[in-house]
Amino acid sequence: VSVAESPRSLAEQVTLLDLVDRVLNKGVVLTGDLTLAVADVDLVYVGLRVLLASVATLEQGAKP
Amino acid sequence: VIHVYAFADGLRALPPVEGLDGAPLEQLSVDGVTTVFSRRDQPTLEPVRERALVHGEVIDALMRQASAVLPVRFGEAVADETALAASVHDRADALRRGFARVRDCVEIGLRVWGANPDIAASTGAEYMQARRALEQDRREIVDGLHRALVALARDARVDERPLQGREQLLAAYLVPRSSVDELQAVVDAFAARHPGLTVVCTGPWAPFSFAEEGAR
Repeated sequence: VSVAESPRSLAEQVTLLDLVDRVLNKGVVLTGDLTLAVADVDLVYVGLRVLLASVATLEQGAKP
Repeated sequence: VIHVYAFADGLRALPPVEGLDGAPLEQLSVDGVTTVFSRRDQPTLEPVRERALVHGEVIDALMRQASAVLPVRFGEAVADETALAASVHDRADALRRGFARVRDCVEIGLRVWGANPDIAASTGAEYMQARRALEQDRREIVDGLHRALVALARDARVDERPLQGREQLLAAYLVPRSSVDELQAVVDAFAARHPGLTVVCTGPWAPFSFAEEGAR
């Protein structure tokens, strides 16, 4: 899966957001000790959400 | 340290993919529960996004090799195989219940957004009233879709994080593989009937949202 910032369809953007969201936030919690910094996670997550919000706006604008 | 991807039941073979940083996948069976993992030396997981995607790809590949997969959240580390075995032993019953819960199912994600409505009103009060009515209608329409999908699913979770912007619904459905096409057809028909709403289905995913008992 490439994460280059190229133009993508809304469905592709949402798929990427959903994948990252699931991998980082869902699933069995083994130890509760995360080995990655919360700030890193927030950065990944917030970046995607902002990207997605702009895409959703564009798609809405394009509708009749 | 050991990086754990998922627990698997009925695993035919390890999938032909590499783990984090090209490390080979390994498996360990404890109390009838198979854990899939790889080893890594680096204490950190940067860059996070790229490695998170590899984690997701391994789990996706496992879905094709096992009858039930319980994904493990990305970013945790276990010291060694002894610690891993102890951890699995402690939760073996819960994991077996989890396998039964998700067997032969996939997870489908759903996101619904609403367009900003054009509301014609001569006064502020009139506008607010029209807007509230429209929002109420929209909630009922989206609830109707949710109920139709719940009827096709073995389980469902509505994301409890507060909705942002134009989001109307974030949900996940645990769906038997045989019902995925039917669910997609219901969503497509709904989207065609409601052009003011943007509806996107994602997946099929491993059952991330249903891996923990009573998880939300």
